[in-house]
Amino acid sequence: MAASAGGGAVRALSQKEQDIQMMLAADVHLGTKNCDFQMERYVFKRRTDGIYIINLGKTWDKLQLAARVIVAIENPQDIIVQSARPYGQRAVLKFAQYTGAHAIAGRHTPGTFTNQLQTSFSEPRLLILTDPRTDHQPIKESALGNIPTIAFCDTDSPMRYVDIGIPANNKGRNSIGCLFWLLARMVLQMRGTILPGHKWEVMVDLFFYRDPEEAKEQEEEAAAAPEFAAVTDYQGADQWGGDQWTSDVAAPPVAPTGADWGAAPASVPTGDGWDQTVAPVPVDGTVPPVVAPTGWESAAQPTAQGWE
Amino acid sequence: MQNEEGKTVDLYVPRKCSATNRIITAKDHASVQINIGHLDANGLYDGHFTTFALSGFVRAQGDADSSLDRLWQKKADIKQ
Repeated sequence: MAASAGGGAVRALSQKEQDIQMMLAADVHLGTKNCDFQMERYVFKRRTDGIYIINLGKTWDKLQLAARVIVAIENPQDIIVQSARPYGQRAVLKFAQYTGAHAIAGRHTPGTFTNQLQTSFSEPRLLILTDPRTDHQPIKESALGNIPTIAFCDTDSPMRYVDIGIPANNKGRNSIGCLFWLLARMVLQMRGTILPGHKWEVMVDLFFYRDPEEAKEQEEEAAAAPEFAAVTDYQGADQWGGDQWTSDVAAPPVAPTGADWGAAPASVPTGDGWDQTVAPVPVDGTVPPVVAPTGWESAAQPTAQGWE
Repeated sequence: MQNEEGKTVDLYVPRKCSATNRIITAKDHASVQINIGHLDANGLYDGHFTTFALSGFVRAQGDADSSLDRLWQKKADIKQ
């Protein structure tokens, strides 16, 4: 028993150290300049610029405790994950997808937990929040409906009606995504979906918030080929317009037309026809596909002139 | 409550707050009951859990988090 316990401790420590390193990389340990007195026991120290540093070992322990509470609920649909701030919306949706919970990403409609007339009315058995200050409305309603609450609390977050406060930086996008990813992985490990000793294939990047502009840029890159084709068509149209302009420039070649006429005096009308043919020749050299309609139009015009 | 013979005469016995021993009345809508699951040696949930009840008074003061930590630390020393 002691040996197996030791082995378990070693593995747990190893996993814990990896998780804490990931949290450090995501800036989970940076709090704010103010500190609520009920969050003082989670503070490691204060930096010279006044920012409190959160003890990540305690964050990990509270994540484990929260995962135990989540896994003890039989129906995952009875859990509501809520985030009104944009940074946590994608993380909340992904967390709900992998754990089976119900996600409310966006504004919390007042009365969702208390007004049974509403279509979105529900009575959850557990509520998970991103920020007690931003999501203060669901916290108030949980106090009217006997709903336990788990929240990611910064150092200056109010702790009223929060049953499990996970001390963390809830203002950075990487931090929020990392925390939800860790919580989801812990829940899946406790359920047995992820076998012990195996890694979770889902990348933590899926839980990070993406800017709409970033998504637009990727869409533009993906649509590069059709846009290029469209641009080509536009250039073709430009060239056709340029061809018309070239026909305007054909007026100055009228003088060389006279020269050509001098070269072939015997066949004056034929020379005119030949001259008309000569005019498109440089156009042929410029843009072969556009030449066909131009030549046809030129042929039509001299025919009319000949008849007159 | 019990009568002289030691029998319980109440139909409804209210719960008590695990942190402060306050009675959780039927009209205390801010009170909660939290089930913390137990894990086996492999870290898997084994179906058992420990129940803690917290009254609305404790939660309104913001002491629910520290109370739950204290209760769980005390309980975790005994169980996993």
